[in-house]
Amino acid sequence: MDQNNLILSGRALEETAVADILACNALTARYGIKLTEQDAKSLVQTRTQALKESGRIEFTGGALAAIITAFADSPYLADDTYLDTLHLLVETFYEYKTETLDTIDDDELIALMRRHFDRFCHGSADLLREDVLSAISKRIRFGEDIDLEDDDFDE
Amino acid sequence: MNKLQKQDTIPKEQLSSTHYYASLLREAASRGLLSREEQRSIRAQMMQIMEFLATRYTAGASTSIRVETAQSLMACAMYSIGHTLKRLPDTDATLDELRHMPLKTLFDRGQAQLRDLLADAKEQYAALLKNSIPLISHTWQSTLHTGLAEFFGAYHVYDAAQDSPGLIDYPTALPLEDASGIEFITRYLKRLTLEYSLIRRWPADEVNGLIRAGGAAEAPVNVFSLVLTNALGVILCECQPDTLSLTGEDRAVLRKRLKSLAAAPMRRLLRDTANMLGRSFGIRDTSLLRYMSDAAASLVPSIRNALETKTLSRVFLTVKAAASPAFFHDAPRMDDKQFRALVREIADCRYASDRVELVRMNVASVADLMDLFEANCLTQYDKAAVLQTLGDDALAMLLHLSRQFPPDSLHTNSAELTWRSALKTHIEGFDTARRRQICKMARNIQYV
Repeated sequence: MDQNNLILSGRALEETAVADILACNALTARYGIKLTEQDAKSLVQTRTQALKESGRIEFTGGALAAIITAFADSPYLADDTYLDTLHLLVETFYEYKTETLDTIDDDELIALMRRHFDRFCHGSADLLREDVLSAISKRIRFGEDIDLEDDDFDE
Repeated sequence: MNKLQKQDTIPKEQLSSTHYYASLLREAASRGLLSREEQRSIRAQMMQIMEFLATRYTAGASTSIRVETAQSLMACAMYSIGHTLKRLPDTDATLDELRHMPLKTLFDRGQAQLRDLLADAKEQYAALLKNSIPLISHTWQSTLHTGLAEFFGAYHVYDAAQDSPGLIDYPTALPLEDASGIEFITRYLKRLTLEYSLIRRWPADEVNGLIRAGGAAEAPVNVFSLVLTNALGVILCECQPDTLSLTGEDRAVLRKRLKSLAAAPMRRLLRDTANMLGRSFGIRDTSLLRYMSDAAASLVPSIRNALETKTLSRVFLTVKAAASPAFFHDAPRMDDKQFRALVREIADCRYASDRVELVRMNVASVADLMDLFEANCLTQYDKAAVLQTLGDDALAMLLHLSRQFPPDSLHTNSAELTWRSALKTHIEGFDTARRRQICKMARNIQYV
């Protein structure tokens, strides 16, 4: 099965994803951050690329809206860096869905990312990706039972 | 007057049985039998099925799945749809169904039919187990008791209907091609049942003798073919097939009868003989009669090859009896108190020669010797020296006991491994004839 064909034939899904992202503006505007239609399309492209790179496929609108909603009230998000941070978070999310061997649900992974983004990483998506999630995924791959609520991710 | 027969637009036999749906769509598209709009609609409906399957697979907990998982789910959807479509009488009716019936309905119908097939296969498997006779074919036993059990334990109609889990390496007389998943297992079990219904007409000992003669105890060789070949040989020698064994004289008769035959007449003769075999047993099951006839015809290349190479004895076999067991009467074991005292005394000895002498003087039973080897009071050097004091009978007995559990078994510990290693090294030091003799004794030994 050609992954590209599946993704391309899902053009309607992309349109739905853009609409879902723009719908999040109603919530994020309260915190002074908003996305344009162009921003939303670029995020959908990042998602498509992230899916390819992590060897995944999506048949629904995806997790973009869930990520935006979960991070909306983070004190570390500012309007000028908001879009770049979201791109990184989307890439990180799909990368670690695969790296954690699909053992973590979407909602759990997003909640985990959000907690560490604020607490340990102080708003650095790079640190979240390279330190926190890397350590957690390594422990999962080694067969450890990990407590997702535990803040000591690097035991 | 010739009867006019409707020609299918796509002949069914040109389509793959395993990938029926995909091959049907490909053929239909290439022949222009599905419009672009119809193809687009089918693709869109397949996407909806994939969304449904992905959501069910992740229990709604993940919006994305791995590509490999998606491939497997897609294959499952196509297999299920293909299964229901191939039951339709012709491909024109199939294409009509594809045009007018929602793809999800076809998928659901296919899944329901596959579940029914699975239930039937489980019944067939249970019947096969119930009627099982103790054949010494390892691949038969492992496929029947392990491979098929694993299949039924791991098979999932919902998300991997196309898969055939479990190691099923026992071959059927006529190979099964172009089938997978539960369709394969159902056909496989049907063939095994047919084959078994013929094999069971002879005593298990005789069939096992044939397995031994055909070197089929360890190799993946079809037992039905061995039995059928010899039964046909017996009938061709104008004897009643109440026994399976053929002698050198029988083979001479067979050579005379078969050597001048070309492939086609030989095939006819073997088919006729298979029918005679069926009649002599009063077999009325037409599936079995047809299967016996086809399997008999498939023997032609091997028989012709054996005639050319003068190796007919490898095709028409002489039943080989099981080697008679050798009985080993072990000496009485010492009591626990005495044994513990000996272990302490050996452990206190300074010199190896003293330890070996203590063993030689006090241990009469092979079972005690084994326990002593595992009691950590003798070094590897001591064990080798003790082995040198033993006769071939005792060595064969130790070898026999060491084979009760393979070295990688959970029951083996490091002490056992060291004496086994010493025993192996000791026996390997003998000349070939003595080594073979000890190994043969070890194989046939019965511990008393």
